[in-house]
Amino acid sequence: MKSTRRRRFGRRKMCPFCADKTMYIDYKTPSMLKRFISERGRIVPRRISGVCAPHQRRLQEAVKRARVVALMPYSCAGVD
Amino acid sequence: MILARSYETILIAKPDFDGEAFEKLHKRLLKVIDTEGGLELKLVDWGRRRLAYPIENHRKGNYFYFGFITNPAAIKEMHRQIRLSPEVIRHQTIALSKTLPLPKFDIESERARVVAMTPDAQDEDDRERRDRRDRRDRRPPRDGDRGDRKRDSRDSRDSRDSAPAPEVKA
Repeated sequence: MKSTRRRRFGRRKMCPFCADKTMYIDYKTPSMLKRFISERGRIVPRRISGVCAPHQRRLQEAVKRARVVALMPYSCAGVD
Repeated sequence: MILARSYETILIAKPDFDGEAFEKLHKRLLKVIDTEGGLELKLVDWGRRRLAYPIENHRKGNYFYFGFITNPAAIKEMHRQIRLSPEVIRHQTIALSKTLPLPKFDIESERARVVAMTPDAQDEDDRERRDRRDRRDRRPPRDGDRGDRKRDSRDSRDSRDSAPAPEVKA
């Protein structure tokens, strides 16, 4: 019963960082981190992005560091 | 014996400021490293980039990236020096390695590590373009923040988007 009709119960997406070992989580590459934040600038939860727990922790750290040096937004709400 | 770590510092200077002023700060930082023990690994000028959010009312900033090895105690003094420079609007230092006796550092591999992690040059243009596009059509985001959860029909954000607007009949 792996791939059933309902996506909700289907197999989780593979962690993109585990799938591609060359992808390095670094706060200095906002273009890469951009994939993992929502339009409003929030960090996308693991259950949606499919990132594994160890990588999500590093990702979270990276996004927060990038925010400090204004490479990433804290929020993109309304006024910019 | 000097214990040391490798660090990287990002400095954001005001956009309208010339490299000369930064040279002065750079020299001061090098002096601190000299007295405390350690060495410079790499200094990169990232150039003018758009800030993700305004800092002190500046929308752009001059980024400098500075990699070095030094004694952890030196960081405090370096930050003091940085804070003394009014043209620096933001700074962040990240420790890259564990604390080791200085002679144990493989300088070349540390340097390679520092150099390997530099931002994509593409990004500045990217941001620039996105910025312009944003201005043209600034629509509210379609979805809320939290993707694929079950929608609550009472969700106000949703009803605005999907349900036909309840036009007033009068």
